[in-house]
Amino acid sequence: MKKLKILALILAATTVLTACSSTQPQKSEASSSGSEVSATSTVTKNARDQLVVAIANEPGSLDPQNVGVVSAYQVQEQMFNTLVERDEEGNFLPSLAESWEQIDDTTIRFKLRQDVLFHNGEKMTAEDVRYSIQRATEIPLSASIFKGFDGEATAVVDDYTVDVKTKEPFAGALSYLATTRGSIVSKKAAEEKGLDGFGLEPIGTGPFKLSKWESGDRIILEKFDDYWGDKATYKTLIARIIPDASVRSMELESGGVDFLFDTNPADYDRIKNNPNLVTEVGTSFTHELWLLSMTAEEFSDIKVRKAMSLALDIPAIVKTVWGELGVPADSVFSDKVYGHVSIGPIKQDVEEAKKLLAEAGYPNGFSTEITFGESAVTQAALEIAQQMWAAVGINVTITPLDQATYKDNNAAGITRFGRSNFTTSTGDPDHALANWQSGYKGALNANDAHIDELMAKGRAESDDAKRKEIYKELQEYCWNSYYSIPVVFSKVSYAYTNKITNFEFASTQQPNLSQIIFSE
Amino acid sequence: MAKYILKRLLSMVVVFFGVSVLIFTLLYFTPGDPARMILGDEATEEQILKLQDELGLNDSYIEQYGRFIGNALKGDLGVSYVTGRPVTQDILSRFPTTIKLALLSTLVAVIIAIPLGVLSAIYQNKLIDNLSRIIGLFGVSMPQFWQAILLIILFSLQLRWLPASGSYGWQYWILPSFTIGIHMASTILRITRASMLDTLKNDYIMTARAKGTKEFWVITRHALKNALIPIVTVLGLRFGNALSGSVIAESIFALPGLGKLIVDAIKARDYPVVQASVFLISISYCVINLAVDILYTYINPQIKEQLRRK
Repeated sequence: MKKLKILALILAATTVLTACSSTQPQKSEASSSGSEVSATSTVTKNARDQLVVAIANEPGSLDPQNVGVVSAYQVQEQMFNTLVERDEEGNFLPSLAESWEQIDDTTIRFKLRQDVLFHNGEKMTAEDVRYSIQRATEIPLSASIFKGFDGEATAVVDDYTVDVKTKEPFAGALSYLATTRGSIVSKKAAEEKGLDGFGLEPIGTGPFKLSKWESGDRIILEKFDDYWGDKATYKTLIARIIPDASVRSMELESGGVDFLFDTNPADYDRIKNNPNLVTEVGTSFTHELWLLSMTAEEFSDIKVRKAMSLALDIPAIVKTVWGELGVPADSVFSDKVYGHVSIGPIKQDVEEAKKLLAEAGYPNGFSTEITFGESAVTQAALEIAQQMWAAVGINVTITPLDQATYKDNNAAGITRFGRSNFTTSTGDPDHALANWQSGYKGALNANDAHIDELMAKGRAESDDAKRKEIYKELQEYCWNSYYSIPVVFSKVSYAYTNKITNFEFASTQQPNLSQIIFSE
Repeated sequence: MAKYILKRLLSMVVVFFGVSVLIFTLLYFTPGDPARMILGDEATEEQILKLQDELGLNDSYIEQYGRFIGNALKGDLGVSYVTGRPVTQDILSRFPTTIKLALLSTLVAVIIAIPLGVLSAIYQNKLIDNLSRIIGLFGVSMPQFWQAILLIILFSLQLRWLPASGSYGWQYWILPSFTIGIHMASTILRITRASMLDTLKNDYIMTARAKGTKEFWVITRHALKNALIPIVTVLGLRFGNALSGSVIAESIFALPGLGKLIVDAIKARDYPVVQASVFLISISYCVINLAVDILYTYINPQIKEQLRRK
């Protein structure tokens, strides 16, 4: 009996201790002081001083001109500003530039704000802007995007005026300048630290500055008190690196993080139905196409290419795999991109597909192989498509490769049938269709002079209506050439705790988080 | 003994040389171009060629290996292609997490496996033996990622006792240690059981019992001590394995360890990081194996005597 009592006491003590330990910081502690913040024209008390977000990968660098991963852009968005910003309707708004004008076919003159400080306390001048644009045209990771700009000729007019030059008339120039790659960096800091050093300790003008980067674990940003715009509404932004998508979801559900930039499709319904969480879904700039390479003999005949498309029930594939987080592609780039026209989606016609194959000399079908950089979602979609292709006699082997090998195969021109999942971060069709141009080392290899010609025309056309007309023709031509199978426009899906308000949705998947407010 | 250790240390040099040749050759012939990975899809061929030249990727196999081993001998393991940070800095910042996880997992494994294995052997074919065999079977056959997710769902999501991921306090280490520890325990449990069953059949156990020694001392002092050799061998191997980083646990629990670093480096074709990490792992393996061998001599004095005679 005595032993039983002792056992009961031990159990009770264990329970109490366990209960105490369960209050460990699953969620960041609310600030005792809180902070007064101004947002949406009212003064609100922010209940917390810290926002914890999850990013999927650790960026190799935070230098805006020397990195190419989405998780880096998501952090950079909080640390840097660009000359102009683009709103959700595609309008350009002043940011570091107060105003701008096109002074000739290849020159845009920007008048800069005079009250902008970098995180190192230095004042931003036209020389920093000139340096940043030139840098964007020289560092390979951004030079490929900024190839239309003439960094050498971009010139300082006075301390707060700069002439940005393009090599040729370039209608999409502002779209490019509004991306994180067009961020303005401190010339002094970039030169002092060197390329690698600046990537690890970047200096921008944004509402947050880098405080600490714990390799493999988290990046900690701190409110920049001398920010020129609306100051951040809380003190610290922590970006935790959580590679596993389902763990990111569970961290949000258990309170370990407050905000997710993307929701795992498999967890979406659960998160959506959780009363403590909020999801916001909207169209993104991302499209997924399956590319039929013109270097593969079987795809040189348009009838075969068309049969490949007609065999598929794209809406059914998208509904099954992407659910609410995707819409069947109705063009070769997303409907958020400038000049998009709705043409599709592809309508399945199995009989027509069989007929076309027979006419092309493949009455019994043929075998081919699709390769792609590993992606569980694409793999799931391809497995459904594989059955549909088999129904018309096309035997498709699905071979996921690691990204490096896939890129190598593309460069060597040996990919017969590949995949492109592309985010048009600029929102400009010239960028969206970059891999359709002749000479591009991708899986498409269209090498079609008519596409090149239309792209050159679209790039140079400054009249809005005429430019849209060119891209309409281009989209229809690309669609009807059947060089690719347009599959899905995936959606942006943010998820966050219901204690967050004042979140501003961004289709770019890189929202500005500085104005978030926590309720009690 | 000192002579033996010195001999083993010298043989390690040969092992390291072999490892360096092997890893360099494997990476050299692995498809995937680091320059293309760094510069992305939209880079021009000129830009890629220029970067390949800068990284020395267009040099011959011999030139590249010579440069690598020459720098390594000077203590320079190179700079990461991706971050531009010295590789040593990257690895040393990750290794403590991996060591901590390996030690905690091994501790969990030992606490679970050895008592259960011993009890299993003592009560062979009884309820406790059957139970521990079932536990062992589950542990070894349950995929680690699934086990990790189940633990997170139960302890983080449902009970809200423990955090799901990260490493910001002692409580963060419990789920990852148990994920690896349970898996490790299943092998050690089976070895402990088998080894104890063998030992318990020996005449000296019968003698000890006949002399009236208490059963507890018979099991711990006489049986377990003699059964420890295979257990320590497996434990050493599993610990060495854990030191190479558990990719699955590190990825799921978002721990900044060596395993995750290596996998990311392989994906990005960040050769200097891969080479240096594999080097560090091979050193760890060799040191642990040596430690296990030395431990044998303390567990079983006969081995010490054999070494002395040699």
